[in-house]
Amino acid sequence: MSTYGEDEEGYNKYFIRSHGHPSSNSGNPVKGILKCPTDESKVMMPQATQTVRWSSELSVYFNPDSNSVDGCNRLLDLPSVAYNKIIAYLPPKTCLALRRVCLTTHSWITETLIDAKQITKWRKYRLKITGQGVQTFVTVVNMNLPITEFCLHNSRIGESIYTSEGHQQFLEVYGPITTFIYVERHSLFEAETEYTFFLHFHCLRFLQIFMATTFIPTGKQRTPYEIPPNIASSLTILIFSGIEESNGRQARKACQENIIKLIDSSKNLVHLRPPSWQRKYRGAACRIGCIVTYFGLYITYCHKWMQRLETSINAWLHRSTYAGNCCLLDMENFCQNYFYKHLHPQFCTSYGTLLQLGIELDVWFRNVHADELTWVYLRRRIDGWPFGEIADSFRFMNNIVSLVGTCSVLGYSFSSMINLKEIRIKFDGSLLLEQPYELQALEWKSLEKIDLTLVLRSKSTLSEDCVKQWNTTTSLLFSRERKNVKWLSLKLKADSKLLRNVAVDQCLYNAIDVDDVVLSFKWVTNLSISGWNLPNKAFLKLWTSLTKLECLSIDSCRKLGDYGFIGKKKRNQEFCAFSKLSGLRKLVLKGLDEMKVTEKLFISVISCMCLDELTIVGSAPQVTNQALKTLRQGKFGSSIVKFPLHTWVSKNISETDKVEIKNWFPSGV
Amino acid sequence: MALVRVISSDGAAFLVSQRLAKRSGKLKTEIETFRKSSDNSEAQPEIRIVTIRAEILRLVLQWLQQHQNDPVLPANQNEQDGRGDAEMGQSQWDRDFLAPMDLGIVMELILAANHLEVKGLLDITCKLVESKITGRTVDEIRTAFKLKSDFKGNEEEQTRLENRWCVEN
Repeated sequence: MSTYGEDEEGYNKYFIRSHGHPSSNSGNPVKGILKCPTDESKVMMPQATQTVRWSSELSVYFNPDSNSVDGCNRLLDLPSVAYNKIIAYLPPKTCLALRRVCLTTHSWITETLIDAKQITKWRKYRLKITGQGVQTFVTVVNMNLPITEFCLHNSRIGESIYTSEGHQQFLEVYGPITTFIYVERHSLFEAETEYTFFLHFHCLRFLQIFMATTFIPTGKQRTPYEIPPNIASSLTILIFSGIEESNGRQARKACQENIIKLIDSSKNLVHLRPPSWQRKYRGAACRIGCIVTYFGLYITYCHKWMQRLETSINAWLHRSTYAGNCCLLDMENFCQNYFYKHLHPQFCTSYGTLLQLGIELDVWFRNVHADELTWVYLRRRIDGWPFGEIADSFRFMNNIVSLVGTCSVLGYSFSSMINLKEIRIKFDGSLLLEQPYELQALEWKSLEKIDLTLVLRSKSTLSEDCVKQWNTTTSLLFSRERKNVKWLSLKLKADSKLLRNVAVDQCLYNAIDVDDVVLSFKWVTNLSISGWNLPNKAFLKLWTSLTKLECLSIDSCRKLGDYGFIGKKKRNQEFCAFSKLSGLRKLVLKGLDEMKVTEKLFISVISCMCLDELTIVGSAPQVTNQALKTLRQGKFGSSIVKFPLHTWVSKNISETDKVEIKNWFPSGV
Repeated sequence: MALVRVISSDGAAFLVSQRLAKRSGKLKTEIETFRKSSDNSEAQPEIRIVTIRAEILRLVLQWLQQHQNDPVLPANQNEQDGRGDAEMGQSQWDRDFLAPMDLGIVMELILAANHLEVKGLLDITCKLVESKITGRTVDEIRTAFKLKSDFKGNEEEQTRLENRWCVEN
C-alpha cells in the first residue's frame, strides 16, 4: 500500500468502487465527465481519522457548489508547453488546418514555427513560390512556417522573382535554414540578381534545375558570375531535370560551359544527374545530332564530375555523411529523348567505360536504362571489350543500384548487378532482341524493390514475344526466396482495344502464378497489383500467405469478387481471409467498378479492419450509405486517420447524404 | 512511511506517500519547502492545489502510482523535436487509462500534469489530443473542440488561400 485517500471533515463524499483498472467504475469504464452525484448518493463524511485504501477503493470528494467543467473548449486555455507538444506531434497538413480554426490556433502555429525543434517535421515539405498572388515571399515570411525546401516557379516572371517583394526578409529568415531549392528557370549565374540571391543560402545541399537557358535570348547572354562560394562549398546534390533551348538549334555553348563550371566548382558534390537536351532528333540527323551534342555532352559532364571526385578530398570525406555512403550518378536523363533503336557503337563503348570508371571511383549508378545496358552488353559480345578480364567482363555492371525503362528480358548478362536494389521495368514489346540470350537465375541479393509492368498493345504483335519476355523474366526473378524485397508491384495492362479479347485474357491469366509470388515474396510489406485476371481462389491464397503486408493497392482485377476477400464459410461462420492481414494499415482500391465486389466487401471485411488509411479512386458503386454506416461503427471507424471522400463517386449516395457523411471520417486534410 | 496530504481545489484530501508525491516536480518542491520551514521533522506536510479538482487529482495520482517505478528521465531527454516520450511506447495500461476519457477530462489532465510537473502524463495526454486533431478538417476540429471562428474580415479567406497553397504543393 503506497497511496491513500483520506476524507476531510465538512464535505460530502461519494465512493467510486474500483476493482481492476483504476479508471473503471465497477469494471465498467467511466465515460464522460464525472458529475456530482444526486442528493441520494451523498453520505455524511466519516471521521477525519478514517482512511480508505487507495488501491481497492477510490474515494472522491466533491464540493457541491463546484460546477462541472466542459473541458472540450479548453483547448485554447492550454499552456504553451502543452500546445507546443501537441503541435510538435501534428503532421504538417494538420498544422495548417489548425491554423485556420481560429485566431488563437492561428497564432499558435505562427508563434511556434521557425523553431529548430519543428524543422525535422517540415523537412520534406516543399513550398512553391511563383511570386504572384498569394504565392510570394511576403506570404512565406508572414506564415512563418519552418519550411526548408522551396520551389521557385519563375517561368512567368523570370529573373524578377529574385527581386520580388519580400525577398529581403525571406532571405534573412530562410537563407540560413534552406537546404533545397528547385528553380524552374535558372541562368546558371549569368544574372546578377540570381547570383546575389543565392549568396544568402549557407546550407543549401540540394539544387534542382529544371531548365537553364530560356532566361537569356540567344546571342544576348552575359558573362556569367562566378559560382557563389557558399553554394560551391555546401552543395552535395545537383539535379538537372532538363535543358531546353528557346529558339536555338543547338545547346548554347555558354550554357554548356556554365554547367561544367557549376559541376567543377561544387567541391562536395556527391550526387549528380546531368541534364538532358530536349531537342528531338529524328532520322539521319538523329544519329549525327545525338553523337555531337547529346551523348557527347552527357559523357563529358559525367567524366568532369568523376574527375572532380578523384581530385577532391572533401568529396571523399563527405561521402561518409551522405546517405548510402556513396557517390551517385543518376542516369535518368541519359536517353530520355532519343528515338532510334540502337545505341551508337561509339557510345556503347563510352557508356561501358563510364560504368567501369564508376567501379574504380566507387560511384554508384542510379536509374540506368535497361535497354541501353542491353546494347552495351551485346556490343561486348559482338566486338569484345576493350578492358577487363574475360571472366570478369561484366563487372562494369556491379555498381548499378537501380534499373529502369523498357527491357526485352532480364537475362544472364544482368546477373552481374550484384548491388541492384531496385528494378522498375516495363515490358511493352518495343525492344525485341533478335539475338539469343542466356538465361540464368538472377540472385540479386540486395534487391529491395520490384516494379514490373506488362503492357499489351494493339499495334504490337500480340505480344506473344512480349508475354514470353515477361514470363522469362518473372520466372528468373521468382525462382528463389527474396527476403529483402519489401516492395512489390506487378501490373498487367492492355490497350482498351484489346480488352475483352479472349487471347488477351488468356495472356493476362498466364502472366501471374500466385504460387510463385507467394513462395518468393513472403516478406513483402508493400504490394501493388493491377489487372490481375485471376480467379478468387488465387487472391485468397495471396491474403493468407503475405501476412506481413502493411500497404496494399488493388487496381482493376476484373474477376475479383467478395469471395476473393472472404473465403469459405466454416461451421456457419464466415471466415474472412482478408482479415489475416492484421498488419495492414493502408489500402488503396482503384477501378472498383471493373471488379465483381459488392457492398459486402465494406460491410463484412473492411469495417472489421484497423486501417489508418483507405483510398478509393474512381467510380465505386459498391459504396452505399449502409456500407459507410457499417464502416463508421466498426473497428475501421475508430482507427481510420485518412479516408478522403473526394477521390471517388458512387451513384448510390445522394448529394445530401454526402454532406452528412463528410463529418464521419477524417479526410486526412 | 512518510506521508503528505494533498488537497484539491474542491477540498478533497488525498494522503499520499512522499516517495510517490515526489515524482511530481511541483509536489517535490512544496515538500522540500515545508521541510525547510518546519521545525518538526515528523510533521506531515499539507499541500493545497487550488487549481485542480478532486476528480482530476485522483487521476493524476492513479497515473503516478502506476508509474512509480519508472525511471525518471532528465527533463531534456527526447525533446529534440519538441515532443516528449509518448512515442517511445505507451503502455497498455496508459492506453486503457486514457481510452474512456472524453476530451474535457483530457484537457483538465493536461493542465493538471503541467501544473504538477508530471512530464510523462503531460506527454501522453498531449499525444492523445494530437490524435484527436490529426487527419481532421478545419470544420471537424471546430466541432470536436467546440471552437468558433473569430477571424475578422477576409482574414479567414486569406488563411484558406495560404493553406491551399501549402497543401497543393
